[in-house]
Amino acid sequence: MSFKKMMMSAVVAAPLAVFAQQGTTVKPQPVIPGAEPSLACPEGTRQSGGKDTVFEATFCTKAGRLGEPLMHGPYLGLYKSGKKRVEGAYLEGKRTGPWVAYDEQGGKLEELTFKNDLWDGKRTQWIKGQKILEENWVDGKRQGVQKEWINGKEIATEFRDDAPVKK
Amino acid sequence: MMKKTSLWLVAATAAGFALGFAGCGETMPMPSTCTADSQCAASEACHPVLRRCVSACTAAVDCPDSAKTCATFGGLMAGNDAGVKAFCQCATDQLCERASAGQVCQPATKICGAKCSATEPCPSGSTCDMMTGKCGAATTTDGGTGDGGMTGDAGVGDCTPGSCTAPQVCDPTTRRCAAAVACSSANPQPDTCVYGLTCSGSACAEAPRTGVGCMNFTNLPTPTLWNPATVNPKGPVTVTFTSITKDTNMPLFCGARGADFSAEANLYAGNTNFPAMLDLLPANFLNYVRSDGQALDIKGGGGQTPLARPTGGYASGLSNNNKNLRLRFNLCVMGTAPATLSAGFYGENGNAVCSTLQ
Repeated sequence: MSFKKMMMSAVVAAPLAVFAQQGTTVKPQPVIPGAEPSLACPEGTRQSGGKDTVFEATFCTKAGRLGEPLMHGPYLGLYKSGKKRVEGAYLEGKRTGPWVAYDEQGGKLEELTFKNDLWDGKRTQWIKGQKILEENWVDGKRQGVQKEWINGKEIATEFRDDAPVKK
Repeated sequence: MMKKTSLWLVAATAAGFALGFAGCGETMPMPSTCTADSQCAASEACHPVLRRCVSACTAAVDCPDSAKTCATFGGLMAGNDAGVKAFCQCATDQLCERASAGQVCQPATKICGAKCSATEPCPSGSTCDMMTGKCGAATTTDGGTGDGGMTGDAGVGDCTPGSCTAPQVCDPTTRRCAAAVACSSANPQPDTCVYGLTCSGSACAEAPRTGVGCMNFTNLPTPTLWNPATVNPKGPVTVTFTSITKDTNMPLFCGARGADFSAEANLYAGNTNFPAMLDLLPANFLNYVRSDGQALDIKGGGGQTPLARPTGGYASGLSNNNKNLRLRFNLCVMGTAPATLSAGFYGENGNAVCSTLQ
């Protein structure tokens, strides 16, 4: 496929217009040609977005049930500098599996897992290499002991179905 | 007024009740439960967590050295005219230890007590930090009203947001109208104010609920029913929602003309930190509400365009260990943009706000 054709395909596959106000819309976002990473998009999808679009991310899209663009496959967010910002994956328009966010120096900021677009599993946050939060989620609800570090002091709280456990 | 010594004795007795419930086995006869001060003796207050009558105070001089803070449970000053009695509260473990070896200042009850453990449970609604032996601040849970946890179950006589007469506020902890406690808006929100309040200038105030009565929420009423005293889980609280200078740095937002409207929401986190990146937000966690009541997920995703720039609109606005967020997002209008736009905004399980953007 020629570069021009590839770019046109990407524009066509750009995400669905969003209505910000009744009778109003956000226009589809064209891909800006440039040094974008090449994602291993699944068969039937095509690479869309780009670090210089409103998404600040490159991802794969395919046609949804009504023909609307649907994210499906790897998702890679990049800083303007080209450094990795966030990485994860979509499955039929919903986030799935491990996702990791980075600062511009390459340090981890957050690590969590999605299942059917819900937080599901261990969720950890860091700031400048220091762990500040460790939670456990199941189907979008906190379950078990959650830990937080404030000024180096650990605070633990047990949750069940997103509520503190009654003793 | 009761003599200081006798008040101390009452306080000690009340503390004994509290200890019996919060830290130790029930070794003393327990009084019947209370839900309001009126159910207790004249010299007593109804402890909102213990649901037991404890000794009331009117000033710090009434209290023992181990618990020298005379305040309502929500931290409101004693002597307010809201009809809520204050009681003696501890502030440090050192003072509790000095009064009785091994005791700590329990955050859940604000009373000196034995450390909690697997065999020494905490009061209902709070959890034991096994490392420190402390019971975390108690919370109430929604008994299930079918409203997605937004309103919870208010009791008879409980105040609700907006029901108190200024300058009083509805204290979400005691659910009573009370004078506002002091705070500093120079610190991250909500500073010393409890969940559901914001620090406005130098005093705690109820979080804005400008979404109530706003046309954007007419067809989306649930967020306007938010009650910080009962909502579970506690969602992000919007402190301010205003119009800001239009974003022209990203011409792709509304084509070459730049954003038609740009807004800024300042929030503090509820039960959990904000994620480090916009892309990690739960679905429908931060929402813009159109005038027809349709809510749009700020983060986009799936196939939708985000309304905020992931770095400049979201990540750069995180502060205070991801507990505070300054969110900036943009709106585009099809055709010619009007001079103003009525915009709604809310975080999941948070307060609903409206603003006229320019």
